[in-house]
Amino acid sequence: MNSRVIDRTQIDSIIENDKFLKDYCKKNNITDYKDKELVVENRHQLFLSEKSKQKTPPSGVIKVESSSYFLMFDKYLS
Amino acid sequence: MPAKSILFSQKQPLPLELCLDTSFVIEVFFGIENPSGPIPPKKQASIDFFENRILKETQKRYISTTVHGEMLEKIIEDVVCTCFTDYTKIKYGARSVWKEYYKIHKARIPNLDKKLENAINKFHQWQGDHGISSLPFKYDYTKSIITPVAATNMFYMEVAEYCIHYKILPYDARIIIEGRHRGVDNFVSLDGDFKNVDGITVYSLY
Repeated sequence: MNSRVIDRTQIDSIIENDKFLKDYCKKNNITDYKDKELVVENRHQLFLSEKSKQKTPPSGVIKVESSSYFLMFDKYLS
Repeated sequence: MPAKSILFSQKQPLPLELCLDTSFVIEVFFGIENPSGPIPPKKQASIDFFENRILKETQKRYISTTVHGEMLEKIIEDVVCTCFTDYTKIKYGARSVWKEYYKIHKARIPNLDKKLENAINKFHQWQGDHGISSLPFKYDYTKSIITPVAATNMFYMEVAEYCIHYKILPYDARIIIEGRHRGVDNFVSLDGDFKNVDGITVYSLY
């Protein structure tokens, strides 16, 4: 098995040319090369995870919860 | 001297860095939907409890290149076996022949590429959500248990040495070498063989 670790110049170049990686490192204050290397290696995992966090919750959920609340409240009053 | 063995139930603090073995990752990723069949609830509860501890107490959680590869193979197997079951209605026994089925029928399985992509994305997102990083491999001669020689296949020579010396399987040897050469000597495994290896710490269920 060949070593897959890339050198520092390559790491910097990959991050510099990739908007997602660049923003991720900045946001999480990643400066150490071992951490940068992991970020490059795990780009797909981090991208999917960040994308799922940005998704807005389905609008119907709030409506249903609100209706349930009022139903329960009405029942309590009666 | 064998590995230092620590049970999931023991309350001592966890190290900052841990390498997770395939046997453990399969259980925590698939959970009750484990393709090999559900595990006893008590065992599942112990694994879930330890997983929560890992997420809270460790700073870095890794899977090695070999574990990543084994997980992808397991996920592909699971997708193909589900398609096989849907198509033939034969649920049991499919797993032993999944590769043969895949080779013969892959072109006829509807939306196979999309199903595989979704399943792999699900695993990668799970990794990202849980902060479990794939660890790139670098052979470090100073961490080798064999005498360095001018050879390009040092990794496989060391795998063979682990198999001979510690009586473990090649894939387990690869996982241990990949962790140790990146400076991680702490492993979480449900495989008892890991405990045969000197100089590592193994966190396990039993």
